[in-house]
Amino acid sequence: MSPGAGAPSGGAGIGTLVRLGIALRWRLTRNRLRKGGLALFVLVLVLCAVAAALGFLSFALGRFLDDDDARRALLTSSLTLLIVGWTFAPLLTGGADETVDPTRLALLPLGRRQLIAVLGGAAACGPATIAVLVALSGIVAGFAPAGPGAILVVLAVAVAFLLGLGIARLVASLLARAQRSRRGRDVAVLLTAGIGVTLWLGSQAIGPAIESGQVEMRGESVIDALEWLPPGWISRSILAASDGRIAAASAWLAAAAVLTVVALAGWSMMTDRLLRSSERVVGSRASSGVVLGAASTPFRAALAKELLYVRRSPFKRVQLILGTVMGGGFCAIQALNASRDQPRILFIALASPIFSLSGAYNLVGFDSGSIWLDQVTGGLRRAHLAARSLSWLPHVLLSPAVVTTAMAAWTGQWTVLPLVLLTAVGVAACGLGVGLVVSVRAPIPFQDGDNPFAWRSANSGGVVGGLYVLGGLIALCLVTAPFVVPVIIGYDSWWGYPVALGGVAFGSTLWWFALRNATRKLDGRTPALIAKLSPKSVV
Amino acid sequence: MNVLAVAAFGLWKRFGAKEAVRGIALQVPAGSFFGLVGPNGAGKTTTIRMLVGLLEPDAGTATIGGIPVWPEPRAAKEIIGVLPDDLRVFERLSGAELLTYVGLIRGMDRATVDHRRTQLLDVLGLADDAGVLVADYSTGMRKKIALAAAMLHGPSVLFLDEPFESVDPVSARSITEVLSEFRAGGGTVVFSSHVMDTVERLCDHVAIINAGEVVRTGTLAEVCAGRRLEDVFIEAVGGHVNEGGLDWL
Repeated sequence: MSPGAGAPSGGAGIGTLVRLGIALRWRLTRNRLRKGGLALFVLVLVLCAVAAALGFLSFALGRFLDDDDARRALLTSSLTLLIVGWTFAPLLTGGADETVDPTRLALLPLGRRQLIAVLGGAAACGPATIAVLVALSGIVAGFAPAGPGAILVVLAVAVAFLLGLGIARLVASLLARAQRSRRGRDVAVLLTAGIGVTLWLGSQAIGPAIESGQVEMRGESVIDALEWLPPGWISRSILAASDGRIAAASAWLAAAAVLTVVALAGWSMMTDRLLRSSERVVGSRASSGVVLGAASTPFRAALAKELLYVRRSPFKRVQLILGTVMGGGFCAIQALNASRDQPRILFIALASPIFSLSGAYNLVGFDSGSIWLDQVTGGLRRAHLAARSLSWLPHVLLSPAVVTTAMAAWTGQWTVLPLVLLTAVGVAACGLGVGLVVSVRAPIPFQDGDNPFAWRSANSGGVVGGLYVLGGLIALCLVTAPFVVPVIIGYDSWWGYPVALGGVAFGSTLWWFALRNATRKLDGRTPALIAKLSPKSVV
Repeated sequence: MNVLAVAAFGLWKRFGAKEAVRGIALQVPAGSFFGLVGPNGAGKTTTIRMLVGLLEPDAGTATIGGIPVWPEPRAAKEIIGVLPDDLRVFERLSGAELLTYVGLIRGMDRATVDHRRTQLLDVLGLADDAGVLVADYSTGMRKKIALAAAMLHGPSVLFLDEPFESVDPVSARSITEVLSEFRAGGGTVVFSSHVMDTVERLCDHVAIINAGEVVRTGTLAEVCAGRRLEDVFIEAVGGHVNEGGLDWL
């Protein structure tokens, strides 16, 4: 091929590009199966199928409701939940896929419209998106009237789909842009965690509201408020079309369509900006001299390095922020359902580190590409493992400290605070000990990256690792129960503190034995581990 | 009069407090093999990214074959091929699938894509691994498949960022042969490298960049003036070798 020969002018048409985006998505999915991600794929398919069926049936239920208010509440709340979930759920679960990453198309001569055509095609045909489409089609079954109003309902469903797609991709693009600086990443993670906790708290508040009989009054005002949000405009349009009010239905649909166009244009603009700017902002980083310079032994050097990573590794920073916020949210939910006058309420904080423990359960798999350095300096020794384990202490202690203090301030139960904190140390030690045991038995290759919403780990190991983590959490409950339960029972007795101190001693001993066990387990296995945890297995 | 394949004037790029590129001007004659050399962090990659439409400059202009790259790089991207330094491609496509995808998305017809894909895979020694996922390719194979993707549409100008880095001699030879054939057909190659011998052997034009500025540029003969490129380079960037600094050895 001679230079300049055959260079196409104008490129492929929009329709072709959409088809190519769809083909790309399915080709990548097929190849992922070839790489051994079958278990995860089947799990995702089953979850999507269940979600699609539930969503479809929820909307279709509208056909059998006689009460207009009930129909309105069903449609508005379900539609809002669907679009908000579509936007934020992938971010909260760390889900992302390469087909919607515009930087992989950066070298191609694609204008904004062409780029969005490819990315849109890929984004619109994933299992989760198809599940959303199936769920949305339940609206036609549940709310479409006979006559011309049915066309408006179908159009409204199409607009709802495109609005969800546009908003979800716009938010993802904005976050991708924010991730190019460390501060931006932190803010993005905090915002995402905050939104997640808010949604979670909201969903948890519904149950008590029903029990207290306030749900009708609250539900009315919630639905009224939701109707003014963009998904609510679409539900207004559908309900109006369903009642034969064509003009009102058209007006609300037009408003939603305009917003959809704005969201899609915003996505297009942000994508274009992503392709024209640098991958990351170059900034000066603090010198490692202070922390590492003070280290004089292999253990101290390893610990200093790991502690530096708490600040510099995007994954560890995200875990610290996310774990604390989510742990705080989890405890807030439990506290809201409990009596404020009960001093034992502070012990809820002991459950807060559960969101910070996942990293402590994969000590060897994290940053697996650098294990060779441990190997050439004498093997993955006890000092390295101890340092890797202890570097998660800030994660597992920060959330109980913050949560307990906040709850003490809220309830005025300051006298219990020291006892809870002391018990939290014992729980943390046990958590790290269990983490050591799990880490060497189910290491998952995991490469840190700048994008906290696209963590990269091996697919096949993820499911097995997840089961190990679950088992680890159950084991943690079992090993901490012997001192946590007595402390909670006797928090105001003279023996509360001795038992908590005993818990710290027990946790430390458990951690020490776990460390010895983990070291023995890895002894002589580092080369095999390097092969197993090769970054090549992380795609 | 020499026709310019690439022209840049006053390119400027700042990242926070760091000025990565400071008013770079380049003139690359059509049909030349142009080497961009400089120490680590000199601004070579940033310059190439601005020239190929991947990074918008803060100031300055760049044209490819007379087509302005900015503000809308799409037209310029039609006539160039790029081998970037970070090699971000779809990892879960096989080599053959990747080429097919790139060709079709560029608007080429299927028969042409198939024909060129087969040829490129053969010439670059990837035919046997055409069905292997890019994720499983070695570094050299990744460079070669990225080069194939860059050449598939028959560009006029090829931009290659460190094409020979981490590449074995056999792969380097096949890349060199493909580039020579490309140039013999009238194409222009712009590539960055740290390896002075390679630049000296392949290039007829060279520019030395240091601290974001062009400190020497011209034909290889003009820049070297009878000396070795490495000596000229070290003199131009002000480098010196410390001797006797490791007494414990």
